[in-house]
Amino acid sequence: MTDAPATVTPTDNPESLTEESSALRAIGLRKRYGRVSVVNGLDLEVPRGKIYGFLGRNGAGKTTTIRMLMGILKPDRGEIEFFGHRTRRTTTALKRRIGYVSQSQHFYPWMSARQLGRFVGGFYPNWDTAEYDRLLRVLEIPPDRRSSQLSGGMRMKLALALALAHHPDLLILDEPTAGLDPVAQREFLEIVKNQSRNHGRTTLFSTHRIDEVERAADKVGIIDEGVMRYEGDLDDLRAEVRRLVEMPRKPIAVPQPTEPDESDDAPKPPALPLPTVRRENPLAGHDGYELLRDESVPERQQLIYRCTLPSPWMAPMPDGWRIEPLSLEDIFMAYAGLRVAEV
Amino acid sequence: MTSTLIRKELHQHWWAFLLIGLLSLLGIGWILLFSIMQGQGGSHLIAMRLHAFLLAFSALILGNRLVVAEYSSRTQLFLESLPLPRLRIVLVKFFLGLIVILLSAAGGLSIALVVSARTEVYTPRFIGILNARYLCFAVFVYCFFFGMGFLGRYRFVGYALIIGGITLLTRIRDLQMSDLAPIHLVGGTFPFEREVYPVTSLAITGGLALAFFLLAVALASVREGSVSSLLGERMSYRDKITLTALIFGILSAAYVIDEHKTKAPYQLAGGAEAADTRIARVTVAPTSREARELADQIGKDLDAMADFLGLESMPPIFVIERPDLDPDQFEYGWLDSAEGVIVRTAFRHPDWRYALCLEHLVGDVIENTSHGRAMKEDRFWVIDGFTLYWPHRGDSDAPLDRDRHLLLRALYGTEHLGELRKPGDLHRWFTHQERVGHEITAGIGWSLLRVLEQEAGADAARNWMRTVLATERSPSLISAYRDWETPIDTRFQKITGMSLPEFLGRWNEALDPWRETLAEPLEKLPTIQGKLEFEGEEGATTQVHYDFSPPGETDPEYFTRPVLLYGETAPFEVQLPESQLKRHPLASEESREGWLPETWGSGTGFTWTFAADSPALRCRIISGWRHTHIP
Repeated sequence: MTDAPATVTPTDNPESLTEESSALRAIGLRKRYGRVSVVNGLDLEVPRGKIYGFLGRNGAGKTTTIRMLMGILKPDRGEIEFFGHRTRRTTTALKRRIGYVSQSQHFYPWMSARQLGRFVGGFYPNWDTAEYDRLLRVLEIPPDRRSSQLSGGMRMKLALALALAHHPDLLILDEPTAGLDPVAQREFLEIVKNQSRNHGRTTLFSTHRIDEVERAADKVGIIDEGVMRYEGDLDDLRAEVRRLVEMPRKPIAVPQPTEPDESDDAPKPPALPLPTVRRENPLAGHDGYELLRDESVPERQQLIYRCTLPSPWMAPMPDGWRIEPLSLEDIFMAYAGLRVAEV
Repeated sequence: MTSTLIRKELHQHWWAFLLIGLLSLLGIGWILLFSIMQGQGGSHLIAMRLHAFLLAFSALILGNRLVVAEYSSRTQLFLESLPLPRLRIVLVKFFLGLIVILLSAAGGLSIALVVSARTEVYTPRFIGILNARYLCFAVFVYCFFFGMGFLGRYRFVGYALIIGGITLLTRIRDLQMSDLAPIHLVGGTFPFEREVYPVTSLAITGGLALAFFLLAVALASVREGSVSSLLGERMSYRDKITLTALIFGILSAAYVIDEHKTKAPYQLAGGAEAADTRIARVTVAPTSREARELADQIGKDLDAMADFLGLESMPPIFVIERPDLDPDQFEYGWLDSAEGVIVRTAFRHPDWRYALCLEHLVGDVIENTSHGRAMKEDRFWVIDGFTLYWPHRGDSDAPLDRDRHLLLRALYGTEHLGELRKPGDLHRWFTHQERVGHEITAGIGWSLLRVLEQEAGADAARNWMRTVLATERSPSLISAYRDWETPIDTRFQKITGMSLPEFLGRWNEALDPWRETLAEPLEKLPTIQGKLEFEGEEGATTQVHYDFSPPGETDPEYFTRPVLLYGETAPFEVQLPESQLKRHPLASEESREGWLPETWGSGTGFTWTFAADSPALRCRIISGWRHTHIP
C-alpha cells in the first residue's frame, strides 16, 4: 500500500481546474444514513488565506460535511476540490496538507503531549518538531503530562498544536470551542485569527455560535438541514437581509350599539377587538427579494427578506411599512429557522 | 507510516506482548516437563495440547488488546483523522498479532519436535503434517478472536452463541467436539497421524480463518467504520440482561435436549426374557429352552454385578443367536436410535462358553452406564480386569492359580511388557493392548484387582471398583473439574490406603512366586513373530507379502492355529472389530510365507498382527498390532 505523493498538481482536465483563489470547494455533496439525508447537495467555497465560519444548528450537517471533506466519510455524491485538485474523496496525500481538529478529542490517554507529537509526526513528511515544541510552549501545554490528565481546553489546544505543526495549507476545525469556558474560547479564536493574520493560513471552522463567527470569520456559510442556505461575506450578509415590519393598522370604524340598561348589576359583554385592514406586502412578487422567514403575528406582518439586487434596500418603502436592520443572530435564526413548537 | 503504527501498538500493548511471551515460555516449560515425565514411553507431542490451549488464550488476549481496546475507547477516531487509510490500521494490527501468534506456535512446536526426537522417527511428511495442522490452528484461533473483537460488546453474545450452538450440535448429533475442525487439528490424532494430511479439516479451518478475517475487515470498513465504532461502545444494563438471558436460555436448551435424548429401549420381537431380575433386563432370541436358561443366568449375574457396583440401572441386553459364528465370536449390533446392548453369538454351539459371553457383556454394560468415563486410558486397567474379575469371582482369599489360565495370561503379559511399577505404566494401557492383545491385558487387569482385593481388603477393592466403574453422572464440566482436581491415582490412595506405586510393588511381589511356580507352562508360551512387506509400483495397487516365523517346536495346548489377522482401516481408525478382521491361516508349512490375496491402493490404512490360539490361556496371543498406510 503506497500513498500518492504529497505534492498535488491540478489535473489536465480543464473542467476540473477552478479559480486558484479557492483553497477548498465542495460541489454538490450528498450523504445519507439509511433514509435520512444528512447533507443534501451542499456547495461550499473557502477562499485562500481567509477564515470561513461554517454556521449551523446542532444536527444541521456540519460535522458530516467536515468528515467528508477530511476523507473520513465518503460522499454519496458530489466532489471536493483542494487547491485546484478535484476528487471524489480526500486522499491520504491531500490529508497531509490539512490540519484537522475534530469536535471531540480521542487521544490515547497514556500518551503525553510529547509522545503524541512523535506519533502524529510519523504520518506527516513535513512535520516540524521545533514548531510543535514552540506551539506547546506558546499554548502553555505541559509536554510530559498524559493527555488523560489535561483539561478540555488544554486538550483542544493540544489538538490545535498537532494540527498546525506540519504547516498545513488548510486548517479545518470542527466546533473547536464547544465545551470550553469563555476565556478558553476567546483564547482559542485569537490563536486561529493570529494564524490567519500572521501565516495566511486558510481556515474553516464550524460552529453554532454567531458571536464566534462575528469575531473571527471573513466569510460565512449557513447550513440548515444539510443545505447551504447562505454563503458570503459577513458585511454583505448584514446589508442584504432586513426585516420588513408592518406599521400598526388603523381600526375600521364600527357604530357602537346603544346601551339599554346602565344598572351596575347587569353583566357587561366582553370588549371585542376592533377589526383592522391587512396591508398588502409591497415586496410580494418582486424579483431580487427572497423571503427568508415570515414572523407575522395577528396584529402585524413581520417578514425577513434578503435582497440580492446590486444596491439592496435603496428603494423607499410605501406608507405603513418600515425596514429594520438585523443582527447576525437574527439573520441566522431566519436562515436556520427558529422552530418553536406551538405549545 | 506503518512503522509508526507498529511502534504505537508495541508501546501501548507491551504488557500484553510480555504476557504472551510468558505464556509461550510456560507452554515450552510444560513440553519439557512432560518430556521428562514421559521418559521413553508414548508420544511427547501430546504435550502440545496444553500449548494449543495457551495459544488460544494468547490469541484471545491479542484480539482483546489490539481490537477491543482501540474501538471501545474510540481512539480509532483519532487514527482516522490522521492521513492514514482505514484498511491499513486494521491490517497493521492483524499482521502484527498474527506474527506474534505464529512465533509462539512455531516456538512451541519446534521445542516439542526437538524433545520428541528421542522417541519419534521423523519423516519430512510427518513434520509437514504436524506443521500444517498446528500453524493452521494457530492462524484460525487468532483470526477468530481478531474478528470477534470487532463485534465489540456483542462479542460475548457471539461467544455464547458459538459455544451454545456447538454444544447443542454435539449433543443432538452425538458428535465429539474433538472430531470437528478446527479442534480436530490439535486433537487426539495430532501426535500420531504420520501419513495423511487432514485436508478436509485444514480446508475448513482455513476457510473459517479467512471468514473471520473478512468479518474483521468488513466491520472495520462498512459505513466508514461507524458500525465497529457503535459496536465498540460499552455494554448497557439492558445488553447485560439480554446476554445473561441468552446464555441461560442456551444452557437450559442444552440441558433439556440432553434430558430428552434418552433413547427408548430396543424392542426385540420374540425372545425369552429373564425372569425375576431386579435391574437387568435380558432378552435372548429366538425363544427356546436354552435361550430362557441363558437369559435367566445373565440376568442373575448382571443383577449381582449391579448390587456389587451399586448400579441403579443398566441398559437392556439382547442376545441373538447367530449359528454361523465361531463359538468364541461375539458380534455387536449398534443401536442408533434405541437404548440397549445387542450381542450376536452362537450360544447353542457345543464349544460355546458362558464365561466368555459374560466377559463381553460386563464390559459393554459398564461402558454404557459410566457414559464412557470408565474407558479413559488411565483407569482402563480396572474395566479390563473387571470383565474377567466378575465372571470368575469367588473367595477373595483364594490363591491366584484358582483361575490358572487368567494367571498365565497375566504372567505372559508382564513378561512381554516388562515391569509395570509406575503409575505411568498403567496410564499407557492402550499401548499395552496393542502389544499383547486385550485378552492378555485383561488378564493383567484381573490379577491387579485380585491382588488389590488381597492387599487392601475386599471392601476397599470393591469401593475402588465402584469409584471407577459406577460413575453414573453424565460427563460435564463439573465432572471434568472433579477429575482434574482429584486425579484417579490420588483417589486410589484415598480409597485403598496405598499409593499406586506401593500397590504395584506389592502386586509384582505377589506375582513373582507364580513366575517360578508356572515357569514350565510359561516357557511353552511362544513369542510370535513375522513381518510384512508391501510391494507395488508407484500409482499402481500394492500387494502384501507376509513372512511368518514359527516359534519352533510348540505344544498345541499353548500354541495352535496361527493366523495373520489384518484389515483395512478408515482414516484415524486404528482398531477394527473382530468381525471386520480377515484371517489368513498359517498352520501349514507352505502357507507360512506368501502373498495375501487382495491388493490395496496407495494411502489405504492397514492394520495387522500375527496371532495364534492358546488353549492354556483360553485366548489368543499376538505378535502385536501394527498400523500403517499402504505406501
